Amino acid sequence: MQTPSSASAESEKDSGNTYVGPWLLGRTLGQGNLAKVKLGKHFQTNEKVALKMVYNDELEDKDTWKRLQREVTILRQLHHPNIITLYQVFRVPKYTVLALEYMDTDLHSMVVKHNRLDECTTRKIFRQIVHAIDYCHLHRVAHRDLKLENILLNKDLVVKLTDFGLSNFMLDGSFLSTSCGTPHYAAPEVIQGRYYDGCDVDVWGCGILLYLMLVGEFPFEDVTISNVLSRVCKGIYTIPSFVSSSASDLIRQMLMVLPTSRIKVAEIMQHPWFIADLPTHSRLPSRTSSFSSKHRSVTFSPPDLAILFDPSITSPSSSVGQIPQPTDHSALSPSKPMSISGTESPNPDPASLCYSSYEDLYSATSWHSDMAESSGFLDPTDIPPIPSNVETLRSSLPQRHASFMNKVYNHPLSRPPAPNRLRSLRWHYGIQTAKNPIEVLRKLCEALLELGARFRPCDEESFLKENKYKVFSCITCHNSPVYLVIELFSIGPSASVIDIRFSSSDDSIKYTSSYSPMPFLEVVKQLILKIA
Amino acid sequence: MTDVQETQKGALKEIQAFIRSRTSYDVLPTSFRLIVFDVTLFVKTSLSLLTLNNIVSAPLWDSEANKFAGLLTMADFVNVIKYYYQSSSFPEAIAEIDKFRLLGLREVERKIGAIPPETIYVHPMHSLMDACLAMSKSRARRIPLIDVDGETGSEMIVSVLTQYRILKFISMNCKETAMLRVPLNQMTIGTWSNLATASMETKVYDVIKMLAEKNISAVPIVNSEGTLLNVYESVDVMHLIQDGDYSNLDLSVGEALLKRPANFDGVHTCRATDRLDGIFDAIKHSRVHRLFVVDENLKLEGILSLADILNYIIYDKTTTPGVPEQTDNFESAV
Repeated sequence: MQTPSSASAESEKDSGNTYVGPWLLGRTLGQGNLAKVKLGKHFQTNEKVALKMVYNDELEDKDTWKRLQREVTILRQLHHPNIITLYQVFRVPKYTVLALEYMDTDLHSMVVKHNRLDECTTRKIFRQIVHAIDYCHLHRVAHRDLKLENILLNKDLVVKLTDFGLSNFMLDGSFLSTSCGTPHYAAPEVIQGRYYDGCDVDVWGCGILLYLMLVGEFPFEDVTISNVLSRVCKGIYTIPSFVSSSASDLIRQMLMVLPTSRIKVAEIMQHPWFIADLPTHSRLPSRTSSFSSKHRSVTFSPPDLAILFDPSITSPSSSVGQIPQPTDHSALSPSKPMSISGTESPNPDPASLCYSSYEDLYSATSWHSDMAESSGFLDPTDIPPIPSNVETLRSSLPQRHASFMNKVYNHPLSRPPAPNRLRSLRWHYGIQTAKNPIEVLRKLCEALLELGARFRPCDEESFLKENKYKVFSCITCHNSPVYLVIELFSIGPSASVIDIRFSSSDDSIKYTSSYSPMPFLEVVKQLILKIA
Repeated sequence: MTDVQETQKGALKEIQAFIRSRTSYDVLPTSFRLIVFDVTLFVKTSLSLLTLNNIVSAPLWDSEANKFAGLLTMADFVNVIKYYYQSSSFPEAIAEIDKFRLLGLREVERKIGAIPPETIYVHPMHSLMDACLAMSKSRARRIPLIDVDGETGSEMIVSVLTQYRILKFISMNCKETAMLRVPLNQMTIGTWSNLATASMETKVYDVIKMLAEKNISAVPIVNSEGTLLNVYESVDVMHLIQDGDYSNLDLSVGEALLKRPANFDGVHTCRATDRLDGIFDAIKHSRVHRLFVVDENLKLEGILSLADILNYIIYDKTTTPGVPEQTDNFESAV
């Protein structure tokens, strides 16, 4: 076996062996403008990985760099048998490389090959997807990009969820050439540009996946993309009669248009179709158990490697297999570019991708929300339990102290003060007011006029119908236009929330060479003072 | 040097390399809430807001100068209480304090010669080691992360980093913490003699005076035999005066501790035979702010603060710059 003397970039014309780090490059598994995925084989152990190679030129873009960083950060924290493992991240000339666990095929190829799957196989695969999603949500990660191509499998039908935080890669450069940012998977609230819960969006994605596996087609299909989006928002789809009533019921509950009516992940795991054929003791998954991956350590230090994120280098232990190349461009792979009518994009803002905090915004427990508890990298049985006498001093607990004071000092026994716990207010950003929404709306327009803002208000009737009012506005601050999106939510007959956020448009990019938050904050301050 | 000590030395080097390779920004959780006080806020209002949001510190913002103006901590209130309580016109002085704005609070501290408030900060994208070193030199337990806008030159408060969060970050990401197996009684970190203690009958004002004069954050409460019963922490001062009621200063420590909220998690103890691997494991799973070293009968033997642990990690020595938390004497009592 040839030992690499130095890491070198791939050369298209090189007929000999080409190495990237310790990996011998094999065939291309996926291709896009931003990155490509190649099969990698370790020069010593012959183990296989999927090498996701991102062009360094593309990483000059700050957003692309942040998304890559986010994906790496998430994959390093998530350890679950149904989530892809990230082994290594390093940089070579031309590329930044992620060495990922290799799997034989993906669900897209499988559905294309079989047209549709039988219920038994579907249930086996679907269970693993749901368990992976549940694990992600426990760790405050919403995948938000569930699609057939992101479900990898080996020949034993072991499922691995992949592609965390790469939605914009799909949009920007068709990361996988057979997927072009299809809107067929997008949830209604995402299409409508509403605030949404990442958990609910992932449940919708699970619904689309289950339908695809059982039926072999997308539930929402029409001749034009705008018609597809319209069907999604109205919930217009049909389940064929050959799908069992139990599976149909689960699909319907997952594809509820209203997120609040949609089934939750915990409820999916209790659904009759989901738990059929499961032994009784397996029906209550231990959601708090930790998973770990065993890795065999390979020691080497090529001089050109620059470890970007994780200094530890381990080799993968994936099974050997062939990944079939999808050649059928059926309805499962619409290649039409996405064209959305109106100003709304069905994809969420990049800043909100993959991360979603489910803690109460006014939690009384801590200053910061705690970081997600990540399990160790080693198998628990490999580490001897740490002997420790670190304990809580029981006499310092409030109840015990009250008993102590009563017994020793005859202090009257009284309950300790209740902790400060505000009512939970989730997903309500900005300013909350107890005023009538219509009155707030009027005040908002007056304030905008006084500030000399150019704005185009929407129809007042639409606000009454949908409990939301959106204003696109432009206010000049220090000779620079600042574009705002102001949304007024009605959360009750006498309660409203005003959310103000920056809108990055082509005009703003033209006027300011680099974005500074200060003009935006200044404009928001003026607006708030006017409204108050 | 024994094998265990050799292994620990190697692990410390790995942990130091890890700290140097990360930025302060990496330690921040995915989503967090930051509460910032303007310096024109009233002292009484700030106390209510701290209690309401269950926080013990907040960065200050000078909106006139458009810049960061230091950290508000319980030490600020402790210093002011200590000064005014000795005055013969205490009730009038307290009424005056309630009219203070936070900026005025700073001037009062300057007047009484209190230890200057923490004004150090670090850039969030700088090495995490920079933050650790800055905290160690200044003996601060938390440090603000201040970004500077490249275009306007304005400061922006990104977050506040605490020793606890750094140690938790290390315990969650460094496997090498499992190799720190030298028992505490064979190391020379922590405070093992001349401990400042109080009893349940001690007046709470006297304990607050200890917190201020010794610049510590907790006073262990022991009985006549030296058994550890409870701990009075600087955060407890907030519960004491949260409604602006300063008459509670005359309570005994035992009575003052009854004002803790029901969800208080209690304080943590360990043994002299415990090791840092177990302590890091506890930091990973519990909200450990300091550890009180006791024997099998809960007799107090020493105190191990998070600063002691962090300084040991980053310096890999028993000596640290500046004055240790309680005393210069590091000799082990065991």
